[in-house]
Formats: sequence, C-alpha cells, structure tokens
Amino acid sequence: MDSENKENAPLSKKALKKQQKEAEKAAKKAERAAQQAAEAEAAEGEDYSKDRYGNTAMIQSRDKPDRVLVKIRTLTASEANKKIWVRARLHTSRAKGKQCFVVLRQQHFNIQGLIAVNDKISKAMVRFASNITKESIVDVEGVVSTVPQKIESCTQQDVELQIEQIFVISQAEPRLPLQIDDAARADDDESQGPMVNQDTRLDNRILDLRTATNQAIFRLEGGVVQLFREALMKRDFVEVHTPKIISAASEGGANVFEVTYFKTSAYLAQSPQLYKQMAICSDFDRVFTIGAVFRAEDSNTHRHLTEFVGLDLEMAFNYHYHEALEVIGAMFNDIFRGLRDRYQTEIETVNRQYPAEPFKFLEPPLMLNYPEAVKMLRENGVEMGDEDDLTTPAEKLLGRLVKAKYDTDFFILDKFPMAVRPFYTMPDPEDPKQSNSYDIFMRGEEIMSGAQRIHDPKLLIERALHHELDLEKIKSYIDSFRYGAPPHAGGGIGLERVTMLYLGLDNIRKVSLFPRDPKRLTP
Amino acid sequence: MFKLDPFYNFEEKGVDLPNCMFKMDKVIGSMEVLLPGQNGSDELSKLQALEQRQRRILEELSKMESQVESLETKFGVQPANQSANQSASQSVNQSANTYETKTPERVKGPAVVGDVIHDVVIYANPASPPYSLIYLYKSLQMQYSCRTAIHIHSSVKSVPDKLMNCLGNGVRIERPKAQIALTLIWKDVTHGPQLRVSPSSQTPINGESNIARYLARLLQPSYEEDLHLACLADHWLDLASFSLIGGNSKERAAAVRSLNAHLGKKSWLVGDEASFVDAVVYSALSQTGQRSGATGNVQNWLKACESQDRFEQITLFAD
Repeated sequence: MDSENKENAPLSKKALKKQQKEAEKAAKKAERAAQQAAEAEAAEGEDYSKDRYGNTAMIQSRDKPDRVLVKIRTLTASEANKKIWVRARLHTSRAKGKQCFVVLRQQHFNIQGLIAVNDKISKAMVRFASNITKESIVDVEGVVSTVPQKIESCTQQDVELQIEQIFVISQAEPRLPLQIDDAARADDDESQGPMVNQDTRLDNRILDLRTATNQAIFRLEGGVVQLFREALMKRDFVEVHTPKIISAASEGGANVFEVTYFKTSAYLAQSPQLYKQMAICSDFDRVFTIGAVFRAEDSNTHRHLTEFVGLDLEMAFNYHYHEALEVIGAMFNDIFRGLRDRYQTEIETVNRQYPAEPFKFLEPPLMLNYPEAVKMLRENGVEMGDEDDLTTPAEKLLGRLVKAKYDTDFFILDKFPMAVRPFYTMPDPEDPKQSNSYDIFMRGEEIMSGAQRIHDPKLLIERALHHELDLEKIKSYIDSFRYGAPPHAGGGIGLERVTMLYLGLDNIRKVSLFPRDPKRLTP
Repeated sequence: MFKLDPFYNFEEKGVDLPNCMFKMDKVIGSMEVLLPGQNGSDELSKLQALEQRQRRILEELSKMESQVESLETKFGVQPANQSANQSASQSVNQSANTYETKTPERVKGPAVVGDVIHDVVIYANPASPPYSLIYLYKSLQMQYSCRTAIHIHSSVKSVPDKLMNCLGNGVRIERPKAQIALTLIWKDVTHGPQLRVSPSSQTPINGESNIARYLARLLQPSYEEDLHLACLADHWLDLASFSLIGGNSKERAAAVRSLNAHLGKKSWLVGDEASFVDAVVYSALSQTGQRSGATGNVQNWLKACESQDRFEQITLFAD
C-alpha cells in the first residue's frame, strides 16, 4: 500500500535525488562498457594468442604430426606438471569472468580443464573456449596440475588440466536432442533435473550411448562374451558358426521370421540347437557358438527382444549329464569371477546410475532339485502340482527364497518334470515323470534352459509321437542320430539377459546396443 | 485342563478338623497310605475310578480325532495338510520327543524330515571355522542318510583346501536320496556362524553354540531328554559362546579356570562320555588360539577328545 501511494504521489526530494543518482550510474556503466568494448577490440586486434585456438580444417589425413595424445584415464597425480595433448569431447563449459572451466570427456572418464586469461591466453581465447558447442571433439594442450580439493564431479579427482591450446576438430550442432547429463542422471534423482525416457534414449541412441553408464555397460557386455569364450576354450570347446538362414523352423515352428529366399521362403534361426547337436554327432566333442538368434514373439516385456545374441554350448559326456552341468556351472562361475575381478570400475560406474546389490554367487554353484523348489514354494503359499511348470511370479519368488536361504543370486534347478519339457529331452531313468533337464537362474529369472538330449532315434520318434508331432517335419533332426551319436547335453543363454541380470538392470533394452523389439526397427 | 478329584477325601472319613486355626494336612492321614491293608480296598477303588476317568478322556480324544479326520476329508484339505505336516513334524519332534519319537521307526522313517531333503544351511567365516560341525555331522550321519555340500560365497576370495573338504569327501549321496543335507557356505560373516533352514518362517540362528543345539536336537535321542544333562550342556555351551569366544581376556581366563576345575573331577564336560558339548568347547578353544597353551586338566581333556573317533577330522583341520 505504502509503495503504491508513493509512486502516485509527486516525487519527494529524496526520490528525486535517488533518480538522479541512478541516471548517473547508468551513464557511468555505459561509459565503462564502451571502454571495455574498445579495449576488447583493441585486444582482439592484437590478439597475442591467436595461434593457440581455433577450428582446425577438416582432417583429410594430410599431415601426420608426431604429437602424442594421451588418455584421460592415465592422468593422475603422478603425471603432475607434465605438458600433454588430449583429444576429448567437450562435455560442458562454464565461463566465469576471465576464466573458463571445461569438462573434457573420454568414454567414461573425464577431467576438469581450466582456461584463464594470462600472458599467453587472451580474453578472446577464453571467449572462444566458452562458446564451443557441447559434445564437440577438441584437441587440447595443457599442463596437468594437482588440485587442493578433490573434484567430485569428475572421474580424475586429483588433477586438472591448465589448458594452453584448444582446437576444435569436429563441431557438434548447438541443439542436442538430449543432454548427456540428463541421460546419465540416476533414476531416483528427478529433483536434480529432467529425466530422459527410454524411447527418447533409443531414438537418439548415439548420444545416449555416450554416457559413462552406457560406456561401462557395453564394455562389460563385451567382457561377458570374452569370458564365455575363455572359459570354454580352457575346457577344450571348439567355436563353430551355425547358419542363420534355415529351411525349416527348428523348434516347434511358431515364432519364426519368414524371409524370401529367391523363389521360395526360408526362416531366420530361432536357436542353433539342431546345428550344435549335428556338430556333436560329427565328433567335435564340445562346441560353442556365439551369434544372433531371432524370435518372432510379439511380447513387449522388459526381457524379450526379437533379435539377440545367443551364447550356446553343447558337449558330449561320458556317463552322466551332470558332467555337462558341472562344466556349465563352472563356466558361469568363471564369468562371474572374471567380471567381479576385471570389471570393477565398470560395475561401479553402472551402479552409480542404476544402483543394485552386488551379484552374489557360490563356488561351486548351488544345485537344487525341482521337488525341493516345489516344496519351498508350497511352504510359502504357492499352490502348484508336482508336475506344473514354474510361472514367472513363482520363479521370482523362488529366486528370493533361495537368496534368503543360500545368499546366492545364481543357482541351478535340476530334474524338471518331463511334462513341461520339449520332446527331445531325455527322461529320468528311474522316474518317468522326471527328466534329465535343468534351468539356470540369475536373480530369480531363468537364463538358460538345457537338458540331456535324446541321442537314440527310436526313443526320439517315440517321444515325438507322444507329443503328437509331425514326424515328416523333424525327419532331418531324427536322421542326424542314425549313424551313431554320443550322449550329449547343453544349453543356451542370451547375452543381453545375462548382462542385464548381472548388473541388476530392469530392462533388456539397456543392454542391447540397438535393440530390436516388436515396436522398434530403427535405429 | 482336566480336573482331578482330591485323592483323599477327609469329609468321608469323618475326621473332625479344628476350625479355630490354620488348616494343616494331617500327618496321620498321609501316613495311612504307607500302611498296607488298613483301608487298601478303598484306595484301590479310587485308583480304579481314576483309571476309568482316564479311559473316558482317551475315548473322547479319539472321538475328536475321528471327527477332525472326517472334516478333513469333507473339505479336502488332506493333501495340503500333509505337506504342512512334514515341516511341522520336525518341530514336533524337537519339542515332544519324550514319548513318541523314541521309537526306532520314527528315527529311520522319513517323517523326521519329510520326503524331500531337509537342507540345513550354515554360513561360516573361514577365519574362524566352527569345528564342532564336523562332530555333529558325524553324529547325524549315524542316524540319517546325510549329504554335505560346501560352497564359497562370492564375498570370500579363497578358502584353504582343507576347509573345502572338512565334512568328508567320501561317498556322496545324491540329493534326492538324502534325508538331511548340510550346506556349508564359507562367507564373510562377522558375528560368528549362522544357520538357516526356512528363512521365510524363522529367524536365522546365530553362533556356534546355538547351531550345535539345533543340530543336536535333530539327533535321537535329543540331548534335552535328560533335563539335568541339558542344563549342564547349556552351561558349557554358553560358556563357549559368551566367555571363550565373545569374552575379553579376563573372562576367557576365568572360563578356562572353571573348565580346569570341572575336568579335575570328571573326564567329560557332560555325562560319562564325549558329546557334542565337548566338541563345541574344543572348537571355541581352537578358534581363539587357546588350545596350544592349555595346561593341566584341560590339556588332558583335549588329548582325550582327540583320541575320539568323531574328533578325528577336527584335529586334522584345526591346526
């Protein structure tokens, strides 16, 4: 009320004075600004550091300088006071008067850089640095120097880079479809800023993949393949490659993609099962294969993809299929141990954005029998028959019960009822209701389903008839066992599922580089 | 509860009781029981009446039982109940073993653990192995078909080989054929070993002494049948967990002194032969490094333990 009155009332002496003062101030300010501009112009005119920054011409491989570019990962306190060159992305820049802070990023490592006006660096250079668009690639020369206080926002916390030269190698467009910082924000951290939803991420996967978390996820995923290979090579397995275009549906017949094949049609392989088994029958003894697998299942869940990477293995054994099961268990433990020991930083990086309990496992792996699992579930209120299959909620519950009792996220469930397994599963010798088959679980989700396969054509035909299958369609499968076949067992896992469950992620699309599901075919 | 008539009916005997003072039991009245022939026929009829009463109660109980059974079949809860019974039977066995579980059929039969394996999971730290497990496992093995499995948890990098086969590595019984399984997991647990059977319905059992109690109750006969021995056992078990393992140096010394005093009079801690209690105390001394420095009676007792069959494995691994 008071102020309103004053405004309407004729100006008092005091107010007049005030106004006058303000006008004076403004005049002074304008004067100073003009002076500054003139100074700047003058400075620019004689820019003493104009050779120290700029946009480089497109690299067409004209020169091959001797310049050594170091990795940000290696920059620690021990490298202090060295002058080095770095090529990195400009993650962020923040100008502050006569200095400009930048964060340089290289994969999932980053370092703080500082450009401050001094006798070598002009104001114009600082201005240039602060105007480089985010995500541009730059070459930077600078002196590594230790900092008194740890830099919490960077991976290299003990050092920063005193930048002396900065050149733009490749400029990014100023408007980004998503901000890397937003994409890297932890799920429960919405108060800090906007989140990026899954579809935006997948539509702009190239940017999304630049986050430290994604860099770590896919390095770890590569590690899973590497460790799978190492573990099996060590055990005398042979790596084979099976065809992906096949003439007939390998399993069942449903859920296959049909493709035109010249004048007829063919199918995309659902699993390398048949070819693995044929390799065993051709005396390869132990084989594994890594390759794409296609499933035409129209299910939009957190754990189904239409194309994924299958890690499959099959081995001949001597007398008991547990020989194979032990190899599989040991292989998984090798993978888990390898991930735990070699990918510590990656796991930590992922956990920062998607917190999860560390993956726990037992050595040797825990092996339970189906009736035990049924008993555990019944004690906890699940109503199911002895020969019923596990439903997805029952699987999850079982996972939690096993974790509570044995404290392991990984276990093998042996002796599934015959009724819920495919026709080629070998029945138990003593109890015809049980079968020599097993499922393997990680964090309460099934990741591998395997069994001793029937290697005798007569029994195979008998089982196929029992399942009322058309013998004509599976003739080639049955025929492959006619010329003597060793007893064998095996199984297959999905690379994406193993990675997802190991890291405790909630969606399989997070671990597929360019995921394919019923609703997504691009990018 | 059931009501019982007073055994002696003073009114009927026509004894005058003074009512000016407090009532007191008649000394003579109770003496009469000791004298046979005086009014024996009367006593006999009383006993017979009592017997009849009991018979009536039993009849009523069996009637109720058949009623419940008919209700069960009527509502079709029989099959579900059976599986529940299996888990219940185990706890029944622990508490009510005085008159029923002693029969040999119960010991051998699958009723104790159900038709599916009874898996006892124990987490232990490889830095302080609960050696008494070895003794108890051997005892269990004499009564049940047992199997063991030893795992290393991912929280532990490596475990000495001798600990990996401390529960014997002879004939392995396949899982479906075993009644009891002992799953030992070497894990980075901080507050002593831990036992779990059915974590959704019971809290974990902590400490070597309590684990030993649990396992000893699975044995037939249970150590708790003789209350006197059970008390003694509890005394030594608590001494092992609170003073020998959990105590400071003063308490430890005091515990060893009381052990020494006891062993001067007796050769074993409880009863006339070696028992799991000896194993638990032995294990406590081993884990805390007090075994080598033992003197006097304790040293003799340690030697006596080591000469026992069921200690054989312990001495192999405890060094």
